[in-house]
This record gives sequence, C-alpha cells and structure tokens, in this order.
Amino acid sequence: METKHVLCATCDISCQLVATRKDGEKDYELTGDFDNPMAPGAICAKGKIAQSTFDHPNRLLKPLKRVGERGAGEWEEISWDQAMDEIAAKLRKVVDEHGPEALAVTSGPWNCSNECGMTRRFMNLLGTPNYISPVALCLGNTAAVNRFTYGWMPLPDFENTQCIVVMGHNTHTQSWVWEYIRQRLAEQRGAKLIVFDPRRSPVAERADIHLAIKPGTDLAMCMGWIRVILEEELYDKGFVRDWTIGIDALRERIDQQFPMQRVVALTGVAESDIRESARMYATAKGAIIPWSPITDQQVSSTSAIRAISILRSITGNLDAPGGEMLMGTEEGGVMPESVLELTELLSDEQKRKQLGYEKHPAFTFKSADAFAEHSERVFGERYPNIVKGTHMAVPSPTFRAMAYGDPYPVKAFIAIANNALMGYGNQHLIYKAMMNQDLNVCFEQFMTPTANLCDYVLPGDSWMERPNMMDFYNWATLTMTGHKLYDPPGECRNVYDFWHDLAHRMDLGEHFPWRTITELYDHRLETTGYKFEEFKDRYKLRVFPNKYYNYRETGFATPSGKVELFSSVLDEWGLDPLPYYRNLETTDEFPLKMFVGLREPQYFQSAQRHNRKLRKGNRVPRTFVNPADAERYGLVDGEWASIETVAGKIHMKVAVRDDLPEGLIRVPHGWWLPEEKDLGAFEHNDGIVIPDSDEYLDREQGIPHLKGVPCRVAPHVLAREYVGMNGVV
Amino acid sequence: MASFSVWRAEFMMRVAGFVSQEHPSAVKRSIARLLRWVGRHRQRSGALDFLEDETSIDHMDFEALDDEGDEASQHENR
Repeated sequence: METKHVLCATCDISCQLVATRKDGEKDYELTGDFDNPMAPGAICAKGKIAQSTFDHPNRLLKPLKRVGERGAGEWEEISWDQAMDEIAAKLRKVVDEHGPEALAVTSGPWNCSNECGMTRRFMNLLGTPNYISPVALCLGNTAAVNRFTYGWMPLPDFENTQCIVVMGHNTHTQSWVWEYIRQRLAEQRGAKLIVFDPRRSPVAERADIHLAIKPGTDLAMCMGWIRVILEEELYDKGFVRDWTIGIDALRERIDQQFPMQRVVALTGVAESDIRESARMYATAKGAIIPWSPITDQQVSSTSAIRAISILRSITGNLDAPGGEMLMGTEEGGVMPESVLELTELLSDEQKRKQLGYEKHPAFTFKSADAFAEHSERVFGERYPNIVKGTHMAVPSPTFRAMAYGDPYPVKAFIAIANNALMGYGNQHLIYKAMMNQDLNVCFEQFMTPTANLCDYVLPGDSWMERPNMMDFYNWATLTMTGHKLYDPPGECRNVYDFWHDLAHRMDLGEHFPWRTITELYDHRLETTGYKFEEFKDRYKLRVFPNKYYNYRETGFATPSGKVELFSSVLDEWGLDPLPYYRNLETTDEFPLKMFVGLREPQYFQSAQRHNRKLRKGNRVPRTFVNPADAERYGLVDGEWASIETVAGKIHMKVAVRDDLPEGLIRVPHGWWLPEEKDLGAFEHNDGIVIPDSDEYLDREQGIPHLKGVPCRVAPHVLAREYVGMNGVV
Repeated sequence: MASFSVWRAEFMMRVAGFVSQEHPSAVKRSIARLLRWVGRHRQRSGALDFLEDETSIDHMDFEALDDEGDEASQHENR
C-alpha cells in the first residue's frame, strides 16, 4: 500500500488529504487527514473525486494557438517552444509600443497553489503594476482593509474561542470544510454562535441568535453593536485607552449617524435582539468574527470590514486567546512569497500607474506604500502580500483600460488559472476588453470561456501532479506541503515553467535561475536548513509557535503604532476615516433584490461542471425564490425564469424555497456549460447582471455590489435546446 | 486567569506543531504517535459525526436531483 500526504488546491482552503493506492492500481483514494490537529478529516466531494475531474477527456494536453476568429473555437496544436517564442515576441511588441503597464495579468492563486510569487516577480521586473485577481472580491480585499485599523489580517482562534459571529458565511461539509470543522468543534466545546443572515440558513438554524438582517446592512448592524458596547461600557477600557486612537470620533459618528432607531430601521432587527447579541459578543472571554465573503461584496464593503475590525479591537479580542491572532509570518522559516515578488524593484512612477490607484486606493500600491514602513517595523515585511490581495490593480478600471484605452492602453492580457470572463462584475465589459487585446494568453486545465477568447492556451498541471508547498497565503505562521502523486498528462506543465520560460525570452532570465519548481522550493527553504524533499517528509503541516499579545512589544503596523479606530490613512487620502452606511434600494422597475452566492456543493466558483459525477447532482443554474414571490411573479418550481438588472439579463431554473425571505432571490456564481458549442458563457453567469458603474461600487475599493442588487424576475421560455447531460462525460 | 489561558493556548499550538511532524528521534515519534492517537480517539467518540450527517436544505436539494439518474438527466435541460 502506498500512502502519501497531498495538499488539495480545488478551492482556496487547501485541505490536507491522505492519498492511498494499492500495489498495481492506477487511481488513488483520497481521504481527509484525521491526524491534522486543526481540522481533522477535512475533505469534500470535489476533493474526493478530483482524479476524475483532472483525468478527463476535456483536459487540455497540448499548447493551442488560435487559427480562426477570436472566440470561434478554432485551434491548432503547437509546441511549447513555438508558443513561448510567439508569446514573448508579441508581448515585447506591446511593451515597446505602449510601455510595460500595457500588460495586465489576472490570477486565481488557489488553482495554481505553487505560484510562489512568480507572477508578481515577472510583472515587477517587467515594470507593470496591473495585477488583478478574484481575491479583490473575496478575502484579499478584506486583508487589505484590515490593515487600515491594525496593520494585518487576523486569523480567528477557533480552538480557544467562546463566541463565533458568522456573517452570512455558509461553511459546510462541501465548502470551506477546513473552517467548518474548526467552527463545529468550537461549538461543541461550548462556543456561542451568532449569525447575521437574511436567509434562514443551516448555520442560522444552529445559532444561539440569528439576526435576519436586510441584505447589505451588515455594516449597520455592526455599528448598532458598537453603539451598545459603548453605551453599556462593555468595551475593554484599558485596551481602548492604551492602544487605540479615535474613540471620541467613533462615538460622535455613532451618535450622529447610527441612533438605535435608525439601526433597527435599516437592519429590520428588533432592538432587543441587537442588544442581546452585542452583549453576548462583547462579554465572551474570547470572541471571533471570522472573515466572510458577504462583507467583501457590498457597496459598504470597506466600512463593514472596518466596523468589524473596530469591534474586534474595542472588545479586547485582538491577538488574545480565543480572539483574532495577528501572526505575521514565520521568522527564519520558509521564504514568504512577498519576498520573492521583488516589489521593491517596481518604481514609484509605475506603481502610480496602477489602474484604480487614485480613485479606489484601498488595496492598491497606494495603500501598500502607506503601510510599508510600519509593516516592516512590526512584521519584518515591507510589502506583505496577504492572501495576494494587498497591492492589486482594481478590476473594473483595468477592464475599462483594456476595452477603451482609458487612461492608457492595456493591450496584452494573461490569465493564470483564472476564468476571468466569468469571475468579475460586468461580463460585457470583460468580453469587450479581451476582444480589444493584441495578445490574450491563458494558462489553464480546460477550455473555459476565458480560454476560448485567447490567442494561446497553455495546458497547466493539477495539484495531484505537482509537489506542493504553501505558506498560508502570507497570512499566518503555517506552512503546508504535499507530494506529487503522478506526472502531469500530455504536455501539461507547472505555472513556474511558464514564467521561467517567458522570463528567459524577455531578458529577465537571471531572475528565474531555478530550473524546476522543486529547485525554487529549495531556495525558499534555505534559511531552514532543509531541502524540499526532506522538509516535505518532515512536515505535512509546520505550525510555528504563536505568541499572543505581540503588539505589547512591537505596537501595531499603522502610522500611529496603535489601533486606528479613526483611520489616519483614509483621512489623509480625503476618504471617510470612519465607517459610514451605503446600500442599494429597490425601485418600481426593479422591485426585488438578488444576491450572488450560496456556494454549491459540487463546484468551486466556475469549475468542475464538466465532471459528470458532480454535474449529475447539479445540472443547471438555479435561482432560489420565496413562495410568495414565485406566486407574485408567476414563477413555477422547475421552470425557467429570467433575471434582469440594469446591467443585463440571465436565465435560470426556479427553485421555490422558503428559507429565502420575501423580496430576495439568490443567483449562483460562475455558471457556464462546457458541453455546449458556445460554452453557454453568455446566458447564465452572474457577471452579466452585476453592474460596475460608480453607484454600484464600493468607493474605497472599487469592487461591485453582489449582496442585494435591485432586479426583476419573470417566467422565461427557452429559445434554444441544450445538449445537456448527454454531452457531459 | 488570563495568563493561564495564554499559556494553555500557546502550549496547545506547540502540541499541534509537534504532532504534525515526522520526528527523526524515535522517542519523539512515539510521543507524537501517542498524541495523535489521543486526538483521533477524541474525534472518533462522535465529535466529527457532523461530517457524515449533512441534512440541510443546501445539500438535500441537490441530492434529490442526483437520484433522478442518468436517463432522467437526458431530458433535464429540454
């Protein structure tokens, strides 16, 4: 029997799995690792049958070059050398004509989990700041916004906590399993559970208190809690006195803009419930508010994340047992990706060209530079790239520059393991942007709608086909490793090979001296005294001993060295230094609200729909509608409906469910149909109905609103027949 | 009291780091094995039953579709 540990990169969680295979067998059996001390047994269906996802007839096996019109799906197979020669020549031409900033790169960091900072390294050496990623709408932006208050992104201490506040985030056995297990074990140890969610979700049904807020009002509820905590003096007075600035300004903001009657009116929750839940959170001996994608995706995102940060701070939960750990990265441990990225080589002039830098600076280089010296002082890293989200370009301005050349032309686009066409708001704009490029390149495992618009599509390996080492996204002092189980099929290669080969053709080869990803790992491990092969055998999971209350020695990584309830950085930029309320409201034309989300058990984002085993349980995109709304708008369970916003129209099957409140419908993320000739890319995806004009964007970050977009629904008659499951193998 | 909770939390993280390693020393390997056994034993006494018992609407809803089988699926989208 062969047994290896492996690191799943199906989603962003990276569960540690155990792979076993009997002698002579081809396939591995994958199970959760019950020896893992943090999340024993974590695995989902996607991970369990991952081999059938990758070992699939749809898998790309050779480099492809477009031969027909862009998007027509006509290709010829070429060699890697020819592909890289031609890509390098075309990229050089774009850079010569328009400057290095004319290259934009999008990357889904979890899909190629061993990127090791090489994407940013290449970009920084070339001179382009225009890196975008879906983490702009999911966790990465949270990491950046957390820095305004205390300089780092905290990791919740589930193992010691006594109270968990879940903001609409539905972890379960098939999604965010690692976090789900930690949460359920904490609940079994007696931790209280408070849930913010308009929906009567499974998590809400387990909660001690369920606050069924109106969509997009998380910020208002947090400000209501702050009001209660200040009024009833439930805050940590010593911490607030010694380690914060801005408490008076915060009190004034609460008094002027968040009287309790307004909080009640905005959230739709009774005052008694607001007070009781605030007390439960504030008086727990160790309480956490784990990250939630819900507050990442609202017009009030920055304010909501700031308000959460303030709650963590004034209740004394920062860097406290059972609270929120500010871990930094391991001193003398694995070289962080941020060091490999060589951000300091990108000139100030080029940083300022980053798209979105002035208008929406929260996670751009403007922000990274504001915290650089403070971060270096406290965490020893000048440009930490926490969750790869702390110095990105802003997606909407980037796609506008690609489509219209405003404020300057972006003419080359590289998508690394990211189905970008389906991954951001305003899909029409992304399509236009990609069609206006001189060069589109995709590094992928399958022919996605994004790959289909490219000039070159390069076949990538999977997490079962590469050795793995992850430093927990530069977030915490944890490092994980995994074995390579077997060789990549066909000519599939590792993402490092792509950047290595491109760099060597662009006169940047001296900065990419490692011949393989394993040599790069060896380099990253130099300070530990290990080679990767030894390190991997020694550590499945390396947990660097954490100490609490580190700030007592170092201060916080903010300009004042304290927790900034009133953000000096936002204030200096002329933005509101305190949380404020914004939301979108329904109209006669668009009388309902829709939210994008509620992750489906079978899929991660826009992936896996080609796998018959998974698709059987989830064949078509479905909108969930309350029975009263279904009746009001003539919708029938199991029939098709159209959903329309100011941005466009999509259609989905109706599922009538009473867990949704009246007036709110649900739209799933990332639906396309790999079995269809046109890939079904322009009929179902949520990005089609997500607007990205100014009133629909968070001001500080420039990310779109996904949690309560005004919309309308109507019965829909299909104008075409689908291949359906007959085409899914 | 606060210092004890800090000590305990920091100690447990050290234990987590210890059991996650494959130690060169035979003695340490034995201790780590014992600690892992304790951990597994604790989990197997029912603490992880929730991993097998997923009855929420967000799952059952999809499982119902899966039960329709392949034949039904051929007409699913029509």
